Amino acid sequence: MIDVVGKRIWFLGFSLVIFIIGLISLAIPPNLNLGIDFLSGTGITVSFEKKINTEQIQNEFNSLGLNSTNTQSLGDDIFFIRTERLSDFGSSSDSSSVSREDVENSFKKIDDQYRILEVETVGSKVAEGTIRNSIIAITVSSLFVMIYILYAFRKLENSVRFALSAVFTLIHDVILVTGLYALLGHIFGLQVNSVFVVAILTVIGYSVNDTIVIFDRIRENNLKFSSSTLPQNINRSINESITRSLGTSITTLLVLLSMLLLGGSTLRDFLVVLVLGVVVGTYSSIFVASQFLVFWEQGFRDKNL
Amino acid sequence: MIKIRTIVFASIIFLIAVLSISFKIIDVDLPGLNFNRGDSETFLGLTLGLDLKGGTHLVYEAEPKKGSELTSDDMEGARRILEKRVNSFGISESSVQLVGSGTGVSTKILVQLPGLQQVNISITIAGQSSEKELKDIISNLGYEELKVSQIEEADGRFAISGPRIKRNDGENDPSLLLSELDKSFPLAMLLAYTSLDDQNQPVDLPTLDQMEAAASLTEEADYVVEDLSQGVFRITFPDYVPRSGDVNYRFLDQAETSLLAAPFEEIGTLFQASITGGVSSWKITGGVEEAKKLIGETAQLEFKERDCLPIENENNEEEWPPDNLTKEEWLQLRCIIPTYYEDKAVALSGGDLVDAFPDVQPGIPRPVVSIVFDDDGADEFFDITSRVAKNQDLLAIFLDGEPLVAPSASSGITGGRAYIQGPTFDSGSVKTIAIQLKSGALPVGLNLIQERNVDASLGSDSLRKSLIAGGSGLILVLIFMISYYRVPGVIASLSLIFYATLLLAVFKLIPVSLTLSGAAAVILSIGVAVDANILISERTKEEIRSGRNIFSSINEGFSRAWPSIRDSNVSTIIICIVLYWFGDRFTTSVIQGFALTLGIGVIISMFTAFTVSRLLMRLISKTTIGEKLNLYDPVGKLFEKKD
Repeated sequence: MIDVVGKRIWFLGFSLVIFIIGLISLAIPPNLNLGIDFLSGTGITVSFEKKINTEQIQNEFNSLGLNSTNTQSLGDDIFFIRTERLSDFGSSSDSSSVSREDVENSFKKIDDQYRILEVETVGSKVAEGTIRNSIIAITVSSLFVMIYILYAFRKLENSVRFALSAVFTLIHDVILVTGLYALLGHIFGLQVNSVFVVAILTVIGYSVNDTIVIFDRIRENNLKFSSSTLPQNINRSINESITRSLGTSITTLLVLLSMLLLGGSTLRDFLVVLVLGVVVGTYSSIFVASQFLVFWEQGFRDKNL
Repeated sequence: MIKIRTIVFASIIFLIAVLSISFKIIDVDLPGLNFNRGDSETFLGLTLGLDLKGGTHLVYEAEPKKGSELTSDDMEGARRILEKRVNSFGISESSVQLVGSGTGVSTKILVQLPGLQQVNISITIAGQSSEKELKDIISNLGYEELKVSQIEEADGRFAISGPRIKRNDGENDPSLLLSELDKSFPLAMLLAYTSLDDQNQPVDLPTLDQMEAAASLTEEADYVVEDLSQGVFRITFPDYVPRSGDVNYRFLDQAETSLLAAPFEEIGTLFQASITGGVSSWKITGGVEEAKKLIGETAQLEFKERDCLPIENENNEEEWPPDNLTKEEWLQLRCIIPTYYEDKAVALSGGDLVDAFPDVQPGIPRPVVSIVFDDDGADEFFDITSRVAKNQDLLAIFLDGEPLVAPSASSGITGGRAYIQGPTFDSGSVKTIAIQLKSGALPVGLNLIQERNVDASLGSDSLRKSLIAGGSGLILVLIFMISYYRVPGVIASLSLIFYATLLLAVFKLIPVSLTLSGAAAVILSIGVAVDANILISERTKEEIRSGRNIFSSINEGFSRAWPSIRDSNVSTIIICIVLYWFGDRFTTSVIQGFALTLGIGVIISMFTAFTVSRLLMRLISKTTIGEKLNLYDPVGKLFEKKD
């Protein structure tokens, strides 16, 4: 039997280290690499027949006068270019003077076998709305989930403790995932767009799901072994449900990873968040969530273990 | 106890699910039940989102006119105009919808135009024809790749679309399709004779024999003449080929009809010749770019003075009314047939119209449309109505260049307030006219705020890769489950296959558009479905260890696992509801698609765990496998348990 409660300082310390790494990643510019849904602009996905590198594209765009252009390779000779808003999009004043035709001519210069796979242009109004709506959606979801947890544990003594512990775990997961995503963003050029918000909300759902299964066990064991202390019951519960937690995570990760490796570039960023979310969510439900309960009961002291 | 009922129930559901995904197209046509689903071109006939089939997604934001606020009527008016424009373009399966900003009036319009690289044909068939009829004809002709959809009910306009216009034998000349359709929908003319000749003297109506004789004088070898009633005949030309050489666009106009009608003019006084059958318009377009240009323009309401030729012979012409018309006919036609009138620009514009609303007037049995002009408009309106009343002309109103209504006036109208009545007005049509007048009058400025084009090749590539990835993921999961959990793993795998089949069937039958984010949701929901099974088998294993017999262990394990399954999934469902609810604020269908797919997935996974997994576990426990309890224990232990 592994003594999770006894080693809780280590687990919380580990979380703290990841948390600090994430904070540092978030502090280094460009912080989170925001996509066009948040910043407005045009995103172009283009494929070439020839071997092209990002610098060639970057140079062509610079010579068009599109200086704030960011080019990424998505593999398979496909590139994603984020740039200023192209002029033929709308009449708004903050568009650049470069048209889609100019851009296509530049591509032609690089390789006349180019193919534009996707073009997305977002105006500044949508961008503002995305930021506001993301905040609202995350807040409202968390609020509803909190209410639900309170309801689910309503019959339990200290139901508020369980609910708040689940919420702390949820916040822990979101912060860690965002930090790690920022870290990976620096390395692989991952972007934050409205799909990121969906992914984070999904992580919240997953985190709560995992936590509730373990808390359900604790609730059951508290009734069954009422003579045992809370830490004993927590350890017992974790050991009883650890196979399930790992089993579920492994299966979910199997499908997510095969999707990430074989599924093409379009969903890459989204899947990365989910993979991080599953890993962090499983870790936190086993090693972190119940520690909040213990702290509430006895602080840092160890007793009756 | 295993209930037979449960077995039958689960089997029927599975059978329906398998059936509905084995056929690409489901077309049930029973009396009182008409159910059409599926798509002959897509994977399993599932409905695909724009990101998987390619297409364009445009979001417009409405801007209120100065000094006024946007109302939901304005937005509905603007939406209808955009819909009309999109439909006139002949792109099938397009959609125009208002998307919300949460509370209050939706200020955004989302236009979805599928098939960036498709060939679209917009076709009008005069006379009666149904979508199914046209569909059958086209597929019988061997054009199986083409899809047909009706654009507007009952006006004979259809959109035909497909990746290319290609027949099974490789023939890909679009004019061939047109001539084939011409054979299927033969041209028919309706000819009406009057019993008065040029000098208003009574004459005999032509007889059927005379008509046959005249028909033989046309250049057409094959014809059918029918006598419909007093002096009205229908002549059908099955082999008619239009004279105009350009097959990309053709319209059987007055000139072409007159040419065809010429021999018939000899034998009587022809009053009217009109087309009642055949392909009357045909237009091939290739792209969304044109559509985008067309859609983006602001709705424009125009007023024109319809100056018709005079009633009496004011200009001392030799004969009046012209073209051998009788006086009554002249009164009817002088403001209807374009050659007899001229629409003149006036100083009144859409901006002068302040309001338009459905209304009732004392003494008029039908509802009317009341209109209100501002001060400048009122003066101009008085001038125009005075002239129109004096000459018995009309005030023609156009929306986006299309005639909307053309009322007359009995005297000059002062005060800028008037109402329009019509013999066919009802509560529905006056509402529509009012909305159209108003949306033209209050041209909500439409700004394009978001645009997304997905190339069809990227879409199909994404779909293929996702299917490969999803399939391999699923197989890995099955291998893991069976090799680690053994018997419960096998049950979980069977249950997972049941789940996947049911999920796809539900997506097809509802139908839910499958998008990339939806595919991700399906992947996640596989995790959820597996989780339920793992919870059940873990609990069962514990019960077996505690010394129960296998059957009661399963029951006990199930009932203990169920609260966890339920509780843990509710939070996901809550998040899905919130996401779906907020989804349309994001002006991207990604979010709602994800939420809907994941929500449905979670609910189906709970259903599967509750019925199928339990049933399978019980069934298997009754066999000899049920006696080998060690097969219910996972291979090895991830963590050794020492109590």
